[in-house]
Amino acid sequence: MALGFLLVLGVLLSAAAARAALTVEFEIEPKLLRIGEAATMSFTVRGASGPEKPALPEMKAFQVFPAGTQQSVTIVNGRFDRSVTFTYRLVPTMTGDYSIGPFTYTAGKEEAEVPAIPIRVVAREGAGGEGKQQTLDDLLFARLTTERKEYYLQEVFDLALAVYSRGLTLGRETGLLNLEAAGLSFFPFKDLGTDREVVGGNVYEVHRFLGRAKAAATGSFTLAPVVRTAVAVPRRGRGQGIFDDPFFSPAELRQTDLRPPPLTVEVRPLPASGRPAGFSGAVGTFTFSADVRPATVAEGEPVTLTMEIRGRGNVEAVTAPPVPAGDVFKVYDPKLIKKEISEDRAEGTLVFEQVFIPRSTSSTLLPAATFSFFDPVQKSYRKITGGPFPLRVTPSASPGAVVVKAPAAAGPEGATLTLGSDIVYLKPAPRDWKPFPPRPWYVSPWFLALQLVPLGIVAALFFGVRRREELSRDVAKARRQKAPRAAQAGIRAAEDALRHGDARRFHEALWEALAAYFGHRLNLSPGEISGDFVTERLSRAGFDPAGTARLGELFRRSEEERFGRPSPSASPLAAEERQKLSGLLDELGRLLRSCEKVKL
Amino acid sequence: MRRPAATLLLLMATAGLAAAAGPEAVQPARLQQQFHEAGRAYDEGRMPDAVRLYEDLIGRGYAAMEVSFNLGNASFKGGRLGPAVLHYRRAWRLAPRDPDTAANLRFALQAGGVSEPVLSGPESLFTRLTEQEWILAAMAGWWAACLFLGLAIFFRARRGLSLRLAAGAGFVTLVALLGVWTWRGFAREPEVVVMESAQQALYAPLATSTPHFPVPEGSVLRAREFQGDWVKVALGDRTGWIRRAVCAPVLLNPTADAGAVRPPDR
Repeated sequence: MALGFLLVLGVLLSAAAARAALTVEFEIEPKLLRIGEAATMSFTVRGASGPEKPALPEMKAFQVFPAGTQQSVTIVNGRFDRSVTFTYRLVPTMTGDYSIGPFTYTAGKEEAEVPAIPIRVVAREGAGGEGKQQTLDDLLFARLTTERKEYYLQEVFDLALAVYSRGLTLGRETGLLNLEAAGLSFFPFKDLGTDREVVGGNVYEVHRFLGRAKAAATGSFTLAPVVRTAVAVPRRGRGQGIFDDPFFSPAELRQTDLRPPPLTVEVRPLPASGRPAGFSGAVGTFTFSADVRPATVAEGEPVTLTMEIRGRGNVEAVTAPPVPAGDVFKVYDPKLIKKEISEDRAEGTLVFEQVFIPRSTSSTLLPAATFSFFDPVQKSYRKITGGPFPLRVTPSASPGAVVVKAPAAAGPEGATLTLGSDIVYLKPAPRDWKPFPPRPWYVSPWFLALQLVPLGIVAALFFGVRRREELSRDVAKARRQKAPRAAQAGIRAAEDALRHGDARRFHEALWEALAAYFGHRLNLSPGEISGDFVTERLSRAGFDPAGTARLGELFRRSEEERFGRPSPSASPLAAEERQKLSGLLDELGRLLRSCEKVKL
Repeated sequence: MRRPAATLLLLMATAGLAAAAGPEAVQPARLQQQFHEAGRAYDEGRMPDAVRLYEDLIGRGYAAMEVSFNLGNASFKGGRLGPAVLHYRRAWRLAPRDPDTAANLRFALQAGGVSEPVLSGPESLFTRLTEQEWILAAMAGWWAACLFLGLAIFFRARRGLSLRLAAGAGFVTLVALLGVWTWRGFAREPEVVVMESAQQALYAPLATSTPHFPVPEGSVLRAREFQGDWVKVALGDRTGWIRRAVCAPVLLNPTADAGAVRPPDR
């Protein structure tokens, strides 16, 4: 613990000992004032312990009011940095141009020179401004300007946009609409911040933007954009109550469109006279350098010409200059291997590489590369030449080999990649000669429909298993669903008995059908089923009374025939009786189907 | 009850495949003979004859990888870089893993001083299988996923394992569909090959527009937009306009584009 304390103290002491020398910073904002406005003057002292307030020079045209003192301490890289800022309010009393300073500040044995700061004070309103009606255009307007009114084709030029405001608070966002002109391309505008300017005797806050444009076609272009900004206006108050206080009723931003005066720009074609032969459209100011490696090479092996073009203008359109190598070299197309373009697209660096292969040992001079461009400032074409480049070409060791340099291929810069001496030979005939279908097989509707099959199977499986599990949990439900099938078995047995003319067996089967059906429907064993019980349940469920009575009768008749007196129909059935019983079966089927619609 | 359903499924499958089949096939022996004849012409240095015979095979709808590859060779040996690159690129689409096609394409491009086509990260990964292979993988993954899902539903005891297998199969399906989507990207932004030398991409689709960047013969570009006789192409991060007449599409529909196989005469 003690060791830790000592270490910290040591660091602080050594840091204190390593403090910076005395420096002062003196600033006044704004530097352009109206009468009645106040500027803030700050005087910051660094590198002094307990600095005194500065002895300010005499300022007859200003009233000076102290506005506080602020201290701050920072430790950066072990250095102890203490600063004290003295703040003042400066209120001008007279118009005019003034200079505050220079003066000397003394802290202990050290002194620092404070440079002068120019201040301009103007009257509150412009000359003749009193009583003149003001419009929004007087308080808020925009201007779009360029350095010149004439440019050349492909020249990149600056566009300056300035939004002037007086006595207004503007929103943070400023948009530029309708800045289009076929033949001009525009790059994004950069925000340059805000300053002040006097226009017509009035002081305006000016928000400046800088953009760039490039002329892609000749002609006259008129730019009439719309500048969209927002002006803060106070919210409408409802009365004089507390909620009309500005604290509770902050301003709202209202969108405002400004239309700066149209700007007409003339774009001229590049002059035809004096145009160099190898000129390929570069416009601007550029530098060019070229280099060849290696200087000694075997016959048939490549040399690489590296060309760097750097400058300001239509850099992206720059192409590698041609090299008239002639027949003594095998020439490959140049490749762009490096491209660095600034954010505003107006300047950058391009590096090209081009491969040449000397055809024989007499190819000892690679001709010069000449880069031509049009300088719009000089209004003339310029040429920069790199080379020519002497080479030493030795006889080839393997005359049959073809070695190809691939500048863009993977490998160390300047290295040669041997890719082989020839292309791979022909392929044998295909095993199957299948014609290409007009449409791939996998987009045919049948194929796509087939892919739904497994989904259908999974869905069916899912619902089937879920139903099975439901039925295994709910016995009553399972039995209810079995009822029609169970009745059907009884009905089929009755039909069979009828075919054989066995009345007793018919009535047994009829009873079985009724008992099975209602036993499953009511979740009871067949022994618990009786005609009275069933008719009572049917009546309670609201089943058709005629149907209920009929079912009750069927129950009674079956019981009688099963357990009652020997019926005349115990003997083989007559045709008429057979028909009656058949009708009974049909009636039973209808009644049971009707029962399916009733909840018992 | 089950047999009619199975029969229906089989009918659907075969009908689907039959519907996707193309024109009636020519006798393979004749095609083989023509193929060998073209090879003989190549060996004897009669490149125009070799090119004509191979092009005829493609024009009749037999654009097999071997035919495209050999046509690329014949074009290259005949001094026609643009057609050579075009046919190598077509052969690559049919067999992207074939090392000979990649080697010859690279050799031809390097010999012409043309940059190799740059594929994005997903494209380099997914074009290792053909579109058809990805479709088959997606189908297999899909059916396996459904099978394992069905097993998970039916056999509760092994549900966890079945679901994991189904998820794995589903993942395979997703990856395979991404592969298909990547290949479909070549239909959305087709590749075109510049067939003529000394071409420049312009800033606008106008003959009088300013040149933007050079597109040497054999350059493989991606077509972004078509406007009349012009096509907007991308080379790296630059875009410009070139005439459609000086380039040929890599995506080949032999039935519809048979006439476009032969480039403009120089």
